[in-house]
Amino acid sequence: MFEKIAKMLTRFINRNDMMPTETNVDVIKTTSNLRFYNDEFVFDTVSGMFYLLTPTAGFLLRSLDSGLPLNSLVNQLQKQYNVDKDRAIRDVELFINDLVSLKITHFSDKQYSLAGV
Amino acid sequence: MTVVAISGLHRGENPQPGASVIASLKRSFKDIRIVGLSYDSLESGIYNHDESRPDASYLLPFPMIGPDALWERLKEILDKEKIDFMIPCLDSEISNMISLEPKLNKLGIKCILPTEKSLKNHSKQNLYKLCKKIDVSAPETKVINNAWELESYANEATYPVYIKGKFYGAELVTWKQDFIRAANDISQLWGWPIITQEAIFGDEYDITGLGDGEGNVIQLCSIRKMLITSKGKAFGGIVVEDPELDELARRIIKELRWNGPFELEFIKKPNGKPTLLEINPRFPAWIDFPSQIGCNLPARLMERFLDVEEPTPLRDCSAGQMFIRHSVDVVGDIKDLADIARNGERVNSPLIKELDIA
Repeated sequence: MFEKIAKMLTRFINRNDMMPTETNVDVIKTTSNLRFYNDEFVFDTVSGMFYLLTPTAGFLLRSLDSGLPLNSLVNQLQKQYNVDKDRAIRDVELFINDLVSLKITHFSDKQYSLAGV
Repeated sequence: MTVVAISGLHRGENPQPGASVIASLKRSFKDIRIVGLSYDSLESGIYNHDESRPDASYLLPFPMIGPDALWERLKEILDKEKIDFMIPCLDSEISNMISLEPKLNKLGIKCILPTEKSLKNHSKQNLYKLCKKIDVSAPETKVINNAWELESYANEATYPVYIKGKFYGAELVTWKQDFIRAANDISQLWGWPIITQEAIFGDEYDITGLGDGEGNVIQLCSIRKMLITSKGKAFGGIVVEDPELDELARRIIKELRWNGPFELEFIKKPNGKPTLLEINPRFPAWIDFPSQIGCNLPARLMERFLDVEEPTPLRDCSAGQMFIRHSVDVVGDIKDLADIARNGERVNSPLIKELDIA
């Protein structure tokens, strides 16, 4: 009877550092109806869905929710978790795929891209 | 003292709204007497001891017997109780109540009910047509009127499909043999027609509110069903603020010019599009949840009965407020059951005039 609380990504640990590179990429918009409870629980006020987050997923989702461009998000991920750039890009992409499938993220007009970051 | 008659007192696996409506009213009105109307001497609300306890309970004939039998029984009850208002809380009662409304009004008993036309248009049989007219997504529906139609439709149906009774009962079937068995089960219980409905899967949302009969909504409360019982009932819910759902609800109520309480049941498909599954012509069983957070819709209904010029403001239900149902054991004695089974009534709080005589 009880539904499972979805757990989000836990991929963001023990990565090698690489200097960030600024490029122009789209801003991913969250549903902008997210309510955070620390970095570990988020509630979507429109869908009524809620999720338990890893601290890293919480950090990324908060950053996206505040409108941070994707390239900056990759940079922040590199800085915060000491991972190399390729890994950071891949992890951000995977994370966003998860957000899209959970309908936490939407795109205002065009598909997002990390190409060229 | 105002006396309100309320039905739907059972709070079992498939809970009825009456006890929640009583609790909501008692929260706002102190000088009130509740007359419970039951169809079964084992309805749990008859024996309750908390704030949803009726002051007296009376058994009624089943709604399917029709308005005449109900009227005869109400006259007997009215010899003992002076009823001011009636709030029917079961889908199957509304048609009888509409039939009896003129007679009740003559006796000074008020009801707030949808019109016959609204009731017809909201029904499961007509829901798809209604939704198509106002561009609201709804599952494809087929009405099966008799056993002859059943056999031929069972061959054509796209499975899985839901089979529903006209008021109650729903079963998801996946192949022809199940279809015929389930349809026969439901038709034996609730009569013909039965309704088949395209099976749609997704997250479930309920909206309750009050219509003013002019096409306006007095207030809404929308929840996502957070916990769902094996019978598909909300056992826990969380308030959502979804402008799309609100707009759909207002469009539907405007089209129906709905008067009184309602519950709209939506499901959101994986693409996120809300689809209307059902409209229930009454408060939902979870109506005491919004009441507890400042949106007391039964109290607002009561204020309409009382012609209150400046009704108590209703708070908006804000996203994140939630309820989880908590079942409890109501203690009684076989004497209590014997009382209502023998006499068709049980009085918890005698009327003051009876006490005076004593």
